[in-house]
Amino acid sequence: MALTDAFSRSGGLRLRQRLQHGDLIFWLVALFFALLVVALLAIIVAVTWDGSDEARDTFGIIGFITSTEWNPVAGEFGAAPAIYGTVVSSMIALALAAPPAIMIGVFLSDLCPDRLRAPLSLMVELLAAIPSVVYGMWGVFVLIPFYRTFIASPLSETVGEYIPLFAGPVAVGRGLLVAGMILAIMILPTIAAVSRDVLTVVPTHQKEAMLALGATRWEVIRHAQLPYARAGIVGGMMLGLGRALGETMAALMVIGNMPRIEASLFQPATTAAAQIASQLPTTESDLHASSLILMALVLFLITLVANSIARLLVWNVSRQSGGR
Amino acid sequence: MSEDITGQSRRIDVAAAQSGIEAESIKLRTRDLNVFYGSFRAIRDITLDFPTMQISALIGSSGSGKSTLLRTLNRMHDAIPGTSVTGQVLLDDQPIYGEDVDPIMVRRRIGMVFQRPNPFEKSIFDNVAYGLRFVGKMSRTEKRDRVEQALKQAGLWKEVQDRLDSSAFSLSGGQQQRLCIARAIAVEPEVVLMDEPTSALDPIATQNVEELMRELSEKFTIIVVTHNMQQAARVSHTTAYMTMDDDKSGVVVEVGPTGRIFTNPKDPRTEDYITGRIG
Ligand SMILES: Nc1ncnc2c1ncn2[C@@H]1O[C@H](COP(=O)(O)OP(=O)(O)OP(=O)(O)O)[C@@H](O)[C@H]1O
Ligand SMILES: [Mg+2]
Repeated sequence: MALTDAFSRSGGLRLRQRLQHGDLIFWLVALFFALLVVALLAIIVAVTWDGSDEARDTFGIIGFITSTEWNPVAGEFGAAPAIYGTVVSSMIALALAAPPAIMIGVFLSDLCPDRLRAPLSLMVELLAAIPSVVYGMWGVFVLIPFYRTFIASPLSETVGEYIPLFAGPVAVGRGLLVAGMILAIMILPTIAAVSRDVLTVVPTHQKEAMLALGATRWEVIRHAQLPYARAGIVGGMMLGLGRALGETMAALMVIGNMPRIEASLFQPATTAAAQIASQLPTTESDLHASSLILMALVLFLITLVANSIARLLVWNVSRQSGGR
Repeated sequence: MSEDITGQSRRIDVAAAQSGIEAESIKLRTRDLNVFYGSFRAIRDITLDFPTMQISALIGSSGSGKSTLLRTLNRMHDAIPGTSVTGQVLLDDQPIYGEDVDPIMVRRRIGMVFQRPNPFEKSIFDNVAYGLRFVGKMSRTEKRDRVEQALKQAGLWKEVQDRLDSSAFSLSGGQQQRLCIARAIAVEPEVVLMDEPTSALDPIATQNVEELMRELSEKFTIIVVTHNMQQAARVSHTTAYMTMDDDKSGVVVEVGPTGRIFTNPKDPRTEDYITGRIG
């Protein structure tokens, strides 16, 4: 009895104290905003789910993502070309961007002379701040002419004869590969900056242990720093991949916007984001609009899956290197 | 700098002769060694001899530049920007700061054990085998032998022989430190530098490491920094006492056979330090 009495009294005291010090209010405010984020996510999913009703009824989700026909006039809507274009252009971007970006990270964290480090880092970060429409414009006026003359045309006329992946005709040059290249340039600063940051925090004692064994600078980077920073670098790559998957403007301007699946990387294609952005303002029918909304839902799912894989990878890698 | 060499070394030899040590071979010498961090001079005009296959102890108060001196002996400072070194360090009478000397080769001959055990995030076996890849190609069996031998020398073999594949972090602190010693000696350096190797260890582990040091001194030249004066007295053959001068630079006050330094110090500052009046 005395115990419960003391208990309730201390409980009341604690509540009063918490109110007095603003703890509780702060806690409630923080909780409110945290829940707001969850609510926002739920609303987005609900709205896209609701809006894509007609398309889901007509094609079914599986039918929608496996069908390769996209013909608004005929009322046929299949998302496979857009999904294919989204995934392949992003993968190209990641493959092209990751090696140089990691190298830039290594350079900035370890090899760069002190005086150059700050300005170079700033420049890499500025690359990430360039609006994507500017990248798109640069792609149209600079990259595509260069790519067409020096990469696509020569390749399609030689190895392209035998390898479908590089088959012509090249036409103006817009297509999957050049979109991947633009996306690569756009995600490079993200991966480089994250790599630099995680490489910088590798503990000195690990580096020194290796130096003292007679390792060269390269060996220290290769055997002490990169393994230690691996989880973070993979995380940075996934951040970049996420950006590439959802990128709209730059891809829209250089990919050619043809909802087709072709073996050749030189052929025009489309991405989910580009297709939604270019067609939503001028839909042919309710089913068209509904299909675009369903495609938004699919894109959201793709990024969700990519992010989950990234989390899983990072978690796995960090558990391996941390716990072993 | 080199014109001082003869004068300085004579002084040391005289000191050695007076204290009854026979002139022995010197593995590593420093001559008028100064180390600067930017414009701050961390150690000043250090001239010391480290005899072959003996344990030399560096003692002195915190900030007197012991670690700085030790790290200068295998060019660990090269990686730290803004650090500069004047004077000379001679390994077998060859300058290690010469223009044409590769610091990598210096570090392969002069290994190092750090204050805190710093094993890699790898298995016990891989930790010890790690440095061997920098030595050159060797067969699997050869590698296994070298690892076993190093672990035996480090007195760790019995404890880990059936768990070579488990993580180095599954070892206790003292075991980890002996693992780091095994890793350092597996590449068969000529000199092993130890910076407070037992300061993170309990008394039993400390005793193990001290015994180990004595055994290792039959094969390697050992230079150890320690805050523990009993340790210096127990394990070392020669002791150098360093202190911080008025301008905060580290200087050597006195050097000699350990027995004499601890029983009959010549400099009052040394006496104050070892009797515990300062530091
Ligand atoms: N990387 C560095 N940059 C600048 N100053 C440094 C650096 N390392 C050491 N110092 C300075 O050099 C002086 C000597 O440091 P050092 O670490 O050699 O002392 P120590 O005798 O080993 O001390 P302790 O017994 O505490 O380990 C100190 O004043 C320290 O602040
Ligand atoms: Mg120190």
